[in-house]
Order: sequence, then C-alpha cells, then structure tokens
Amino acid sequence: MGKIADWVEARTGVRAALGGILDEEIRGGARWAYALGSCLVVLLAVECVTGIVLMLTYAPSTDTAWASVWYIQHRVTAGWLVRGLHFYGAQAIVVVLGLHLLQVVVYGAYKKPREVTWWLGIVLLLLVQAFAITGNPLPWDLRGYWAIIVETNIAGAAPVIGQQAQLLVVGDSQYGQLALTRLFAIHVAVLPAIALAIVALHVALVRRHKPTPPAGADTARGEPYWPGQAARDVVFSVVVLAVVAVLTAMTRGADLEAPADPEVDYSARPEWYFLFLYAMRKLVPPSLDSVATMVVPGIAMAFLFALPLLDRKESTRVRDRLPWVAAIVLGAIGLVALTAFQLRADAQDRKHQRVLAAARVRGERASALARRGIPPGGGLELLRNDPMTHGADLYRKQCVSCHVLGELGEREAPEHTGFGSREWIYALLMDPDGARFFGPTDLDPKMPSQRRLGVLKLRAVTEFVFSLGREPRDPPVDAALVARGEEVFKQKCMECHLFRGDGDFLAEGGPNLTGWGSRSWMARQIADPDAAYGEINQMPAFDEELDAHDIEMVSAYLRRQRFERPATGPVPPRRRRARH
Amino acid sequence: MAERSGRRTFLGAIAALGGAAIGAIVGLPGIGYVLDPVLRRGSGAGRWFRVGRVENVPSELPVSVTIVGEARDAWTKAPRRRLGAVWLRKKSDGRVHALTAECPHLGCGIKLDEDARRFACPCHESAFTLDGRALGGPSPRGMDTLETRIHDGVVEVRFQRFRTQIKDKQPIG
Repeated sequence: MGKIADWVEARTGVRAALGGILDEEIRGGARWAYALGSCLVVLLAVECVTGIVLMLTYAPSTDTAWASVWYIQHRVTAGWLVRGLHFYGAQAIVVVLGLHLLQVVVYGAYKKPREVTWWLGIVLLLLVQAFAITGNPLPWDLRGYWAIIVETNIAGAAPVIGQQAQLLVVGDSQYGQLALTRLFAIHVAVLPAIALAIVALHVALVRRHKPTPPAGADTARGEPYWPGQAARDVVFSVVVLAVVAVLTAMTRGADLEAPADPEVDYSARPEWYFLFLYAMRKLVPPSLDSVATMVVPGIAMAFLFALPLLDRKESTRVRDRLPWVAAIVLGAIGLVALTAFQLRADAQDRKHQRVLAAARVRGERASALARRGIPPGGGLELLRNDPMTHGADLYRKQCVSCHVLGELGEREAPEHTGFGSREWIYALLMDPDGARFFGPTDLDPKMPSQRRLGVLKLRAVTEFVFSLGREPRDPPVDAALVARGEEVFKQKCMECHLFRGDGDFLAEGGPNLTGWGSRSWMARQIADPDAAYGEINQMPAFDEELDAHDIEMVSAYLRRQRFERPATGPVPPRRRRARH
Repeated sequence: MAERSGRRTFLGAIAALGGAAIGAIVGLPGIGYVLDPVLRRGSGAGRWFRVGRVENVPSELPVSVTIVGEARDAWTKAPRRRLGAVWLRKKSDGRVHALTAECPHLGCGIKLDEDARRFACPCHESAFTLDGRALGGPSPRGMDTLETRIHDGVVEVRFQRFRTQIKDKQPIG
C-alpha cells in the first residue's frame, strides 16, 4: 500500500499538494463563518453531480422535456430524489451565497489585497442567477415556460444589446425547440465551464490571501486548516445538505407542473429568490417598470462591484465603514422584506391562488395520464387528447357564454349540468320551457310539458331517450323500460320529432333525436346545429372555431355529464324495482 | 499536548465522517439512478404480434416480415411503430417457423442470400442455414427461433430479443 502511494506520489505530487492545503495556516484560528464559502463549493459539486446524473435521462425538446422529467420523477430509481437534491440544492446555493456575501461585507474581506477575489465572487453571484434562469425552464412545465418568457423579455428590454442578447439565449422569436436546446446547452455546458474556472480562481485567491479574520481577532494565534476548520466546513455542509434532503423528502422532490401550453391561463411568478424584483415593480408606476427590473438591480450590482474602490480605508472595523456596511445590510433587509411582502400578497391573492389551484389540478391530471404512457407528441399531446382537460378548456372558451355547466356560464340556452342524464331528460320532459331548458331561448314553436303522460310513461320515455346515447362500455340500461319507452316515444314524441328518418307527423319541425346524447350527435350539434334543429335552430355553428379533434374532445367532455347527478334540480321519484 | 492531539483526532474523525455523509447523501441516490437500467430488468417475455395470413407464408425461401405494434420506449407509448424484423417460412409439416433477424453475434440484421440459399449477416459474415443453424463465422449460436401460433388464419409471433455473444439463448428486455 505504502509502496503504491509512494509510486503515485513520486509521479504526481498529490500528497504534498493535499498536505499543503491541509496544513495551511488559518490566521486567528478556525471559524464557523469561513464554512460558508466551503459549503458553497460543496453545494456546487452536488449540483454538478446530480446534474450530470439527470442528464442521463433528460431529453431537451418541447415534445420530450416534460415527458422525460415525468419519467425521472416517477419511474427512474431514486429519480425524484436526485432531481429534488438538484432543485433544493440550487436554492441552498442562493441562501448560502447571500450569507457568504454578508459575512464578507461584515468582516471587510473585500478590501485590499482581496479586491479581485471579491469581484470574482460577484461574477459567481451573477452566474448563479444565470444557472437559475436557464435551469428552471428545462422541465418545460407551465411555471418554467412562463418564467423564461418573462425573464428573457426583461433582458430584451435592456438598451442597445437587449434584443440581440435575448435572441442569443432563446435562439428564435418563439419559445420552442431552439429555446429549449439553447437553454439546456447554456445550463449544462457553457455556465458550468465558466463557473468552474471562476470558482477555481476565486478559491486560489482565497488561499493566496488567506481568509480575513474579523476586526479585533487575535491574529498572532493561528491553526492549520486540518482538522479544526475542515471539521467546521464539513459539519456546516452536512447540516445544509441535510436540510436540502429533508425538504426533498417532505415534498417528494421538486414539483412538476402541467406541460407548457401557451393557451393555458397562468399566473406567472418568479422563483422566490427573484420575487423581490417582482415586488419592487409594484413600488414604481407601470411606465417606469424598467426602473425596478433594470435600473435598481443595475445600480445595486454596480455598487457591489465598486465597493472595494469606494471603501478604501484600511480598517475592517464595522464602525469605521458604517455607511457601506449599512447600505448593504439595509439592502439585504429590504430584499427580505420585499420577498416576505410578496409572498404574503400572493397568499392572500384569491385570483392568483385560484389560477395556481387550477394549474395544480391540471398537473395532477397530466401526471395521472402519463402513467399509461406518453404519446410521441409529449405532455401537450397527452392533455390535448384528454377530453377532461382539453374538452373542458374548449368548453370554457366557446360554450359558457350561452350554457351553464356547474358554477360556470350564462343562462341563454339549455343547461349542461347533468346534460343527457336520466334526471336531465326527465326534468326537460316535465318543463321544457323552464329556465333550466328552453325558457331563455326564443324557440318557436315551444315544446309543451309532457307532465300529462304520467310518471310511469315519463320514466319509460326517459330511459328510452337515455339509451339513445349509450356506448358499448357504458353501464347497462333497463331494457324492458326502454322497450316501453320506445312505444310511448313513437306515439307521442314523434308527432313533432324526427327519429331515424321518420316522424314529425304534425310538421312542427322538432329536433331530430336520432342518436341523441351520443358523441356523434353532440359533435354534429356543435359543428352544424341546423342538422338536428333545422329551421328552429338558434345555436351558432362552431365548425370554424373548432376542428374535428376539438369537437370530439368537447363532445366527449360533455357526454360525461350524462353520468353526473346534479346537486340541484328536480329528481324524478324513485321507482321500486324488482331485483333480478 | 495529549489533550490537543485528542481534540485533533476527534475533529479529524468528525471531518471524515461528515465527508462520508456528504458522499452518501448525494452518492447513494446517484448510484441508484445510474444503475436504474440494471436494477429494473424486464421479464424478457416479449409480446405477441400479428404478422400476416398463414397462406401468404412461403415454404420455399423464407420471407421477411416487419413487426409493427405499440412501441413502449421509456416514457413514450406510440402506436404502430416498426419494432423489428422476423424471417418466416412454412416447414414441411405445415407449421410456421420464425427466426429473429437479429444476429446472435453482435445484433446486426441478418439478410437472406437467395443464390446460396442461406442466411448471411452482412456485418461479420456469420452464415446460417435456412433453418437457422450456424454454418460458420463468429456467431456463437444459430439464429434464434421465435414462438408462433395461428389465430383465425393469421400468424402471430412472440417477438423477443436475446443476449448476443453467448452460446445459450437468453431473453433480454
């Protein structure tokens, strides 16, 4: 063993180099405060390792990004754990970096001869922000998608080079494939290469100039790095990583929202560490937006850069440089206060919370659907083929201006809550001209109430009409009742209604009920309402607004209502049924 | 002095233990993640695919049929994808004989040499009889047979993949 070590040492000198580091003297003795910088190195290494591991699965394209992150989160061994460590580890960097900066300011460690160390640190602060901005959109979920749009548009407004800089990052005027591949390349190759070089320089300079002890420390005393400072560095890093691990375990890793979709309502907010900028916008009039997004952050960064040049006195005592320290500490307090203010405002903003809740439901739905496999078009195609998501979206967009469904909509046409259910049909037969059905319309001639048929016949007709929209996998209907209902239907209803090429004996022009309530009936009704309603139709056709797939989705969405029992509305009396 | 050295040892141990803890927090999930493909092996049982009508299978020279079906590839589930190729031939007893086109040597696609009336792998010159027996070249075994069955006059093949480079036929995937 010793021989091998000597052989390696003779050729590499690694032991001597390592010993050099371990024996390096810390003036004034080891301190917990110095652990902040070392912890940052550890956290950056954690990001590097977890990031490389995630790259084994992640696929950056608008069709695969969300899907591959879903796969990492739900299928890969420890995938959620690695992703969670990467996500919360990044946030830990933001916190520890902030504390490190404050510690350096309070200790006066930016002063001569450590100006360059300080400047490299500020560059790292900017790089960490760049990592965050390029990393958050990679899952291509709603949050990341809107964040990158807003953030790059802010950058695009910068004078002179803004627009070009935006194009260089996004790669295109739209946020699609090129944006995602560029953000990915920047996040995993460009930024790490720059960060690695700057961290190496920063650490080399820290070793060259040694850590700055606080004013008044006994600098005559000293101790080697190993083991006092090493133990502090490691213990502090373990504590921070433990917090990261606990956060990951508690939330089962980072959240994955619904796939990015430009059509979905979303209430975009930056990540919490950029929230102060968002809050600051509210302190200035909207016309001066750029003061909050550009000028103030620009001045703050310029001030940090210039600090070693502004504060040139040799003393590192805080009271000798009170204005500088106070400016930074007050800035930090303001930043925390703005963040807290915005978090509180968002928590109390009911509209924002409602949009977030809807996005959450959408995300959970997408994730549940993904368990059965994701189509080649990715998460977006998954939801576009889901009537309960896409059908509902289209319904909210196109139908609620006339129809009521649940809590939504205007009462200009028959209600859709429970549409096609036995209850709905029965209630319509009882009171077709009521407020719930054709009352709000100018239907002419009006359908009269069928109350006079009596409960038994009404129930039979209801079962028959209900059976018209039945599909093979639906629960069975009462066949005997359907048969009785068909008799009544032929006698009574077909006086006015067309049915399977027959009927309307009184030439009233009643709607054609062939296949009523089925998906194809609804699809035809949406695309071409004249087909069933003929001359008395008042509903606009939607074949221009919606394509065939959209219509299929709305029809399938609406068909679900036949199985819903509405909370309100008259319910037909129960019939005693023999068990068989 | 002894006290100082004891303190040094203690702090050194703390630092070493802490270092191990950092390694474990990141390393263990990372190793699990990296080893995922090895940890999560499928049964290798394969799936049945309909490949064509039984009367269309020739008894002279084998015919190549494409396996088309639902692709399950990591997160993607795609209908009607080309998944592979199979050689079919009706034997003298009327049963349909199926051979996978994947060479047991290194997985290249085996072609039919009609003139020589034998199978040949274009990559490394393994050769097989029309029944799939190895004739020469580097292949460690003959071509892999696949199970077939007839359902309503349609040939169905259980499409499986097998480990290359070994003498035994061992399903994978």
